[in-house]
Amino acid sequence: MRKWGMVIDLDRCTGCQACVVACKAENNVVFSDPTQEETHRAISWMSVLTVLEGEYPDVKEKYFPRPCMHCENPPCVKVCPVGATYKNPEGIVAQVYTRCIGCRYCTNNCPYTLKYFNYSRPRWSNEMKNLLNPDVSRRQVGVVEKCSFCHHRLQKAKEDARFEKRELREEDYVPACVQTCPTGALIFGDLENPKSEVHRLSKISRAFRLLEELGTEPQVFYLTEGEWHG
Amino acid sequence: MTIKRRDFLKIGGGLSLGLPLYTCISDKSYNSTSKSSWLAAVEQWIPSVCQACPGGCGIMVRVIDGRAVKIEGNPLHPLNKGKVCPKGQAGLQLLYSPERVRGPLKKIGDRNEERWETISWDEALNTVSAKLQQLRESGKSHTVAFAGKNQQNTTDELVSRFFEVYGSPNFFKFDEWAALKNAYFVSQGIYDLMAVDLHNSRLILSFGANFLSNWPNVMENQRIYGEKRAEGDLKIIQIEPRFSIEASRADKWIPINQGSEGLLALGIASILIKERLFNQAFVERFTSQFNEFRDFILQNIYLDQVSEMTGVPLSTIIEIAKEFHTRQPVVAVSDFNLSYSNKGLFNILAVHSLNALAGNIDSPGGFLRRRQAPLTELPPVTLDSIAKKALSEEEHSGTSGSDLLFPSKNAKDMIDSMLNKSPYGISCLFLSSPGHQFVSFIQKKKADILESIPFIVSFSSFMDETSSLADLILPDTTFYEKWQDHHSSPLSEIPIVGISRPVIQPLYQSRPLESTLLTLAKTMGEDFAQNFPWPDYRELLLYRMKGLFRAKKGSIFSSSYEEAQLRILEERGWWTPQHDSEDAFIKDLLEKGGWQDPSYHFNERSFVYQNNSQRFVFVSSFGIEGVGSNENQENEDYPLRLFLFDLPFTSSDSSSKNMPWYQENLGFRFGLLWKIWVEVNPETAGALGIRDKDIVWVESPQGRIKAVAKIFPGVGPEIVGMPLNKTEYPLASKGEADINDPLHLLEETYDERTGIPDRMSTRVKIYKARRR
Repeated sequence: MRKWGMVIDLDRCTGCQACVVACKAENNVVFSDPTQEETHRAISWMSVLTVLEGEYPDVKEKYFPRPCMHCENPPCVKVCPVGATYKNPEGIVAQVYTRCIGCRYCTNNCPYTLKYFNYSRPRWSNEMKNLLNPDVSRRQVGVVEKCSFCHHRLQKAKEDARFEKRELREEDYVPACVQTCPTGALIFGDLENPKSEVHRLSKISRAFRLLEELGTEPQVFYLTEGEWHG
Repeated sequence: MTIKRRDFLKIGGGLSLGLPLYTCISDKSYNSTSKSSWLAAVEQWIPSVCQACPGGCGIMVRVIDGRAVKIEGNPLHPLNKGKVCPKGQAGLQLLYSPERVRGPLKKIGDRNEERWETISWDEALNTVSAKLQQLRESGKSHTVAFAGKNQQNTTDELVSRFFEVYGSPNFFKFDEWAALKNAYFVSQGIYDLMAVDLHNSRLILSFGANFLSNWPNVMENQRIYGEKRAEGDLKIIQIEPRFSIEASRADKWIPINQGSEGLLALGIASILIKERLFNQAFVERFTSQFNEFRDFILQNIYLDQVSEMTGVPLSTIIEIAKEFHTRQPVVAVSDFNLSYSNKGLFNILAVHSLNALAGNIDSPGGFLRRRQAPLTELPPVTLDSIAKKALSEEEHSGTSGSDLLFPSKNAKDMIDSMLNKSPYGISCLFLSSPGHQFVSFIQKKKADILESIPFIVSFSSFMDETSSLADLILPDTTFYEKWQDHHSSPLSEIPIVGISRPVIQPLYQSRPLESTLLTLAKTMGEDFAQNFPWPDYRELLLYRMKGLFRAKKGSIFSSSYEEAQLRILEERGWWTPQHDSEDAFIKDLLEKGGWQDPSYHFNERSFVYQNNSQRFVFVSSFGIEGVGSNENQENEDYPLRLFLFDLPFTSSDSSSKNMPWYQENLGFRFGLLWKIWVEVNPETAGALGIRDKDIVWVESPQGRIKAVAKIFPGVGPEIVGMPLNKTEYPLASKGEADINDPLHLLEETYDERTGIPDRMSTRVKIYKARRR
């Protein structure tokens, strides 16, 4: 069985936000408004976190693109009373909107704070409804959502492979953020496949994971910056 | 229609998956399409070119049942190779923006108010045509003006051709890179930009250049940055007053007093010259006036003074100079940021002189000049006597009578001269997205403009500031709905022609600017129309594209492997045809999305140096007096210097406020979504009693605006930084978003030599605002 995972090379990331916008466009995530900003209710499955260190003039800044970590041992799944979020056999932490009762246990239990609750109905103007991706559902008020590794793309790739009577190739499936990343900082693939790039990179000495000490075992690996960053 | 494979996917897939998909689920809120049909959606991927910025990246647009739903990169396009920036990703929000103008509108009642009446295209075109003909017959055709932005496409040619035939010299294109072109004109005799071969250079010494975020070829630079960081063979030194994105990605950030970048460059030059660390062979063979330059430097540049005036420690200057010498090939780059100062041209020239000292002009890893794509030239125009007479009138450049060395057209001067009616008044003005700076001046002088220009036509696709001025709006489509070509920016050394085609039919009653002009041309009489023989704009484009087939070089977009092979062959003088006929060529061209020529020919001296001596000219004779002496340094009322910067990917475009997905991420470094911020050094903030996220007023003698204070160690204690082109509303209607535009704070000062507005010397104070 495959285990989909991501490697994020911090050496390459320029914080350009292409992944963030690509994700919103692919997954029908509505843009926020000033009220949502005030109340911290804006939704962004992929975000670029920043860490600013030092004092003028010796300043350093790091950018961390942060999708869902798709943990091996996901804290959100443990608390879901209705099985709306679960770990699927291919390593993706999936979310079923129709099962979600909006209790928000999972949003509170996620140490990476990357689950988002729909406090209000997404406001799409009639014109903008045209650009919605038909492969992904629009959400309703009161459900939790998060990064799905563009799971619908996997389904599509599998269908295409079946139609062409062949095995699914690893490169058939990439999430929207990975596809658009201008510097190649995001790398995606099968962590179980010893020949894959993500497998190799996840084992090198630069690799680390966010909040590793919690034992959540994220399937998203980061590669630290090289010496240039000091 | 028969049921296809996709139907089964819809029916079966949606239910069995964790994620509810497709239209099979009856609950309305899960339906992302309004289609009630169960028939298969028709999916298409259409190659086109993104024109959300001047870059022109290749894109593939996913169109489902006539709706454009997603943009991905065109993997064959040599500029972006399948990648798309955040602005490009949000592009469809332009297409489906609620702010779109639905059809031709005529202003009724008072010109200062915005009351509109919908009219038909026939009526609109007749109005314009009658007006143009009447002016022409009364010998006033030169009083018609067109203001747009500098674009790399055939529309530019069409518009200038139209006004030439009509008889008006007043076709204004605003080009923020003008100062850099002026600098290359002085030093190399070319009014053009030079490309930087980042692939092969090992040190980028950047004087405030936003090469990772605001250059038209930013996608290429980002890709090279990623590759070279992974290889570890790249060093970036960013010299800039503020800790920008580039500074955060650089090996070293060197803060500098704003406006004194050129002086630092001369300081570095003085070390290179004194220590004989420059490329003597190159200087001898390819440059002139070096001795004057050397004498000037030895007599006038003292490093301790440079250090004091720039604020860069002496040891750092020496370190940079050494690094500059040892890490060859190296490039010293600057961009339009340096030009927005009262010593702009000097700054850019001084930086470019470092490149000549290093000998990296027209060499691998240095500065290259892009060849023009071999498009067919439009046939020469035939002018009638009215046009000939009118064209001899003085051009309304906005700089007449001034003693500027390089009168580059800029928004402010142009508007001023229109308002002063010198050399003559403008009786009809056409506006087509002339860019953010122009727009901000318009807002300041709206009443005056309406008073002195009797008839204004806007081609804006959106209800915005230019359309609010207009008496008539002839809404252009967005670039997703029309035929267009796009020529790569000269900042990239490869000539690329991308073909942009309509991915969907024009929405509402909008009509491409190009068809409007062609239609107008046909109403202007037979003599006029014979200069525009093409039935539509697509035909005109294809006419130009045929030149690519006949040129016998380059190829239609191809895989990296084929591209490399072609480059090797072409650089050795070989070329093999890939198509039998023009038609086959055009068909393939439209399918793949464009044409490119990956080869580069070095040592074509007359192409790189076009001045009389065919050499790089060192400039030492002007501009240096008074540099770095911070004239208006002491000012008790306004103790802080204002540093305005462009946000990533915005450059000069004012349409970006119609892309909320893109706008909301611009403040990501500060966790801000919809607020304009002001960056304050912790020390300064402490002294003023300002805390992080306080609402403050930023006030200059010109006015004040409200912003969120962000405590940021990336600016010096005497500077506050503010972003340009950030809107405060998800969708900005009627210029609301620009009320809080930091451009309004600027003092009216200009580069003495180029007339470009000075963004660097405005002083401000900040103080806490009472909330609401």
